[in-house]
Amino acid sequence: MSSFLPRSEGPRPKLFMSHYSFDSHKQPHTRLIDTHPFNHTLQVFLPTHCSPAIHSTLVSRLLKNTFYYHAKVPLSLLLTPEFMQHARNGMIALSVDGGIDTHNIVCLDGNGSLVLALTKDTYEQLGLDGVPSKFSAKRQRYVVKIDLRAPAMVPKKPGFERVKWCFENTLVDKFSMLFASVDAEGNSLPIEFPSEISARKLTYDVDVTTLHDIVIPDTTRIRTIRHSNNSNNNNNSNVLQWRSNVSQLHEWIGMVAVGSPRVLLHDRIDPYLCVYNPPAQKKQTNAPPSQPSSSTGSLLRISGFLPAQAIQVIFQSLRNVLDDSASNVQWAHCCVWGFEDSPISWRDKEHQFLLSGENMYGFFLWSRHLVLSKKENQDRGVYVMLETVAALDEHQ
Amino acid sequence: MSNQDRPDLSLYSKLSEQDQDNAGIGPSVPRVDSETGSFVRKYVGEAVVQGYDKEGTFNTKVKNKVFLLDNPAKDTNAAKEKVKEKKKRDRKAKALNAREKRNLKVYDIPQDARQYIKYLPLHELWKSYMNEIFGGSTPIAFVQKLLKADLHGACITVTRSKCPSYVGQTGIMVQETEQTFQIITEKNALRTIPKQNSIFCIRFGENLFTIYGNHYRYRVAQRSAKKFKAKPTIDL
Repeated sequence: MSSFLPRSEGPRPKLFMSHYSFDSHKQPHTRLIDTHPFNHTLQVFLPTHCSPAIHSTLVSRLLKNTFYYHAKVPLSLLLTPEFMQHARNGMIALSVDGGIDTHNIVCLDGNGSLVLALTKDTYEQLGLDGVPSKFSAKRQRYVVKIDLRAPAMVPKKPGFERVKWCFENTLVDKFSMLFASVDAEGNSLPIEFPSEISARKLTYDVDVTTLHDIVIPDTTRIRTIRHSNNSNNNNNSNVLQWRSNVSQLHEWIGMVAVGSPRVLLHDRIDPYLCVYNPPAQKKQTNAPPSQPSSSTGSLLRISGFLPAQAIQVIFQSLRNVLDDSASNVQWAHCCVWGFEDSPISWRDKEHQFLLSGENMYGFFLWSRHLVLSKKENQDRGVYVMLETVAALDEHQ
Repeated sequence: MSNQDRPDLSLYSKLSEQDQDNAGIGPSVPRVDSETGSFVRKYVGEAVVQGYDKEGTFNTKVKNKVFLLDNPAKDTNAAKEKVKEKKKRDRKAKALNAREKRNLKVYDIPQDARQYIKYLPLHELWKSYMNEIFGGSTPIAFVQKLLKADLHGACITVTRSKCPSYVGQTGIMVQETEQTFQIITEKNALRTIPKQNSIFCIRFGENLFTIYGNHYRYRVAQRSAKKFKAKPTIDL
């Protein structure tokens, strides 16, 4: 019977942690946000009560002028001149019926590429050139990429005509899709649909939860990766220590996000039932050492079809909140979830669903007005970036 | 020779022995000396099986006959070669092999003949041929006949193929080989489409028939005698 068990463990999801600074010339956070086109939820955790001032800074600008559409469209609609223009402007679209490993999924990434992730039957009948998917069983799924921004994609040219013929004759199914088009500042642009298609215009859902009596751990430990001068071994162990600290905090944020009672101050669960230990809290100078103190935190959640530009706007406002000395917020955590059934995770990277299709990223940010001890990293623009990548994903 | 014994029957009279010697012609029947003659007569008499007529056998079979007792002389080289030549000339003209066919372009359709409108009459002919076979029976029964039918002149479409660029090719079929269909499209292009890994559709009247190319890879002549069996999968 042991011959039926798999020999190797198989691919696993990964968590990438990195440590950067806003003040350096490299801006990996911008690149990370911009290249992740499809996001469905953004969550911000603040270790204080979310005052109306903070709320308005973060959200008001967003809610003023943002919306997205949900419509059931045939693919030939995407080749009409209006939609081609939208695609050139950076419209994103994603079909939301069915899973990435079972159905045909269509998406338009913000760069004007139309990506079709198709089953074998659909691909053989479609008539457009594509490559087999890297992550599925051999030759069972195919990916077709059409660059709508290419100079050849103009009516009357043979390449365009062939694509149009295929969408009108061989793949005439309607796909239930979400559309969003934004300009550089994050304001949504309206999309006109033809009258026979009923498109719903939707806005983002904003949800604020205040959490009372939680024990907030100390995040200053992960601001610094200590570099000792002794030997390489020590350095490695410091990095490993840092990594374990980061993953503990990541787990704690996850507990808060699901609303687990383990983070509450008065939680007395039998260790037999739950082996979770929250990370240590910051040592208060006044209180006795083993007595945790309660604090308040708030979770702000925005859900919808969020394009990368909207995320950038919120990220920027979050940094403004942190840097504003009046708000007295020490640190914040920002987390963004991508769609589990999306054909691409980060731009041009193929994505599949094994046991889960997570493609999310998060940031730990600190205020610039922190009181830093000597041991800590004196750079005031430090942030920690976390990327959670699914098992079957090309992103590294 | 026997007629020479009866001068009234033979057309020619016998040459006298003197005239034969003068002309240098040997006697037509070699002279037998008496010893041989008596020996042979006696020998035959003893050799003949009991019950058969000894005298009669000798008279009919041996007297005045020439027997060759040794092996016949071998043909000389010249004679053998003559025979060979004759054989060569008479040999049937052998079929051309594939390389010769390609070089001579025997089966190619010339450029000026590659026009769609020229094949429309062929299509009409095929339709009337189909009507003859079809004769108003149900499509289900007709499928068996269609498998053996000749499709030259049918309007054929590729509906599904492992190679995406074949999908959608439509035209009148002008040549069918063991592994390919050659069709002429409306844009006057002659396309060679391999039967393998493709599925074709033929439209006839209001009925649409599907042909699975993978299982159809036989020569037209062979196909009429072929029994098509159910296959485990029709997947490409």
